[in-house]
Amino acid sequence: MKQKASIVSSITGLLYPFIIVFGIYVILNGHDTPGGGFQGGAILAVLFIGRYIVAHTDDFNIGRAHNTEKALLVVLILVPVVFVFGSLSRRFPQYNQVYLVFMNLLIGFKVALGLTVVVFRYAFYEDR
Amino acid sequence: MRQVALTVFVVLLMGLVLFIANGHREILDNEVSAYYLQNFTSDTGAGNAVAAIYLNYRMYDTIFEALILITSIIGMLHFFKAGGNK
Amino acid sequence: MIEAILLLLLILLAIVAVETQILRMAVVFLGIFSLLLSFLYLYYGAPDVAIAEAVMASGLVTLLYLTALKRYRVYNICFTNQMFREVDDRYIVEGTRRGQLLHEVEQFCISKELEPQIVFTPEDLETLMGTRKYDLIIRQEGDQLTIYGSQENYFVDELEMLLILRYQDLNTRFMRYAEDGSFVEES
Repeated sequence: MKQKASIVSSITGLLYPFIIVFGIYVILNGHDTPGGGFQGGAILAVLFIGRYIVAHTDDFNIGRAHNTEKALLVVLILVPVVFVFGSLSRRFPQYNQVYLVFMNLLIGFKVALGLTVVVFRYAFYEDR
Repeated sequence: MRQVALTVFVVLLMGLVLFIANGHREILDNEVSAYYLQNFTSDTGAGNAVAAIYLNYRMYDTIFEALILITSIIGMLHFFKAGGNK
Repeated sequence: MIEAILLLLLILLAIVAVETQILRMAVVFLGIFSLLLSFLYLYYGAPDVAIAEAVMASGLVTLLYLTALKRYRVYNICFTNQMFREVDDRYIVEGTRRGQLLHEVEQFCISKELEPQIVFTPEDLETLMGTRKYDLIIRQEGDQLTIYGSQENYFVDELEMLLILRYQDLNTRFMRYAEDGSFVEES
């Protein structure tokens, strides 16, 4: 499997920016339209995994991605604990939209990193 | 013989489930959902009711879902420790 | 109407995916199944779930299954010799020309990313064909080596080319069998 399928790899190369833009669009508009952090994050994860399937890159640092994901989880727990459970959301209603967009971004990046780590770990393990 | 018995069992089970599901009418108390649908924009500032529910009304749900994902990843990293490049 | 068509197609695709012999096709059928399921969610008015279903089940899970399938495939090879009741691995493996052939088959499997697994038995051909456990059966009768491969397995064709090029001096011939166990005449 060392040789690349040139048609598939060039088409995927053309598609990368569109997938990135679509994923970030789904994340950023999650509070107004269908979609949200989880779905957009999964789309971004498909980007990384498709890149692995096509080009067999192994320059993805699993350890760093995992640590980033843990840090994102801490922020992900802290922000709603302060904002929603501390009832700041009722006291400052003008920040509600900012909170929603921020949470969607956090969830999106966390899910993207998590799914990518799962699939890459699995692929590298089977790659032995 | 075993195959026939299994087939009969599965068909009977399917018939039972369809029979029960056919006569079943669930009437939910829709007080909460009506409240959410009326007030979600003024409460949370979201345009999408789903986002309002999973980021504000039911925040615990989202937190523990993120926790489930990271738990499964930790388990996977633990069991696939051998091999790989990192 | 659309709802009924989609639901019937779902049942049909699920049955086809279970019944297919080739795993790769089963994975593709499951991908189509998930895509139709996401259309159904959209029809029922749940676009959030539809997006999640389309991305996760039809994209990620299909890619994951394909990676797994590509990485791990065991190729069962059986070497049978009825002349010798007591099977001795050394007789076949050490140094002889036939041992070289077996080694070559192994190398071929590794180059195709298959994991070769060779079994030596004294059992006769009918029993071995009946079990359907082996992808390739090599049978020795005196001087004659016969290699039995499935008709649908395209690796056997390449292997035949390779062996005919390099092992003309061995008395080797190839036989193909169809799905129902009957032999196919070599054209």
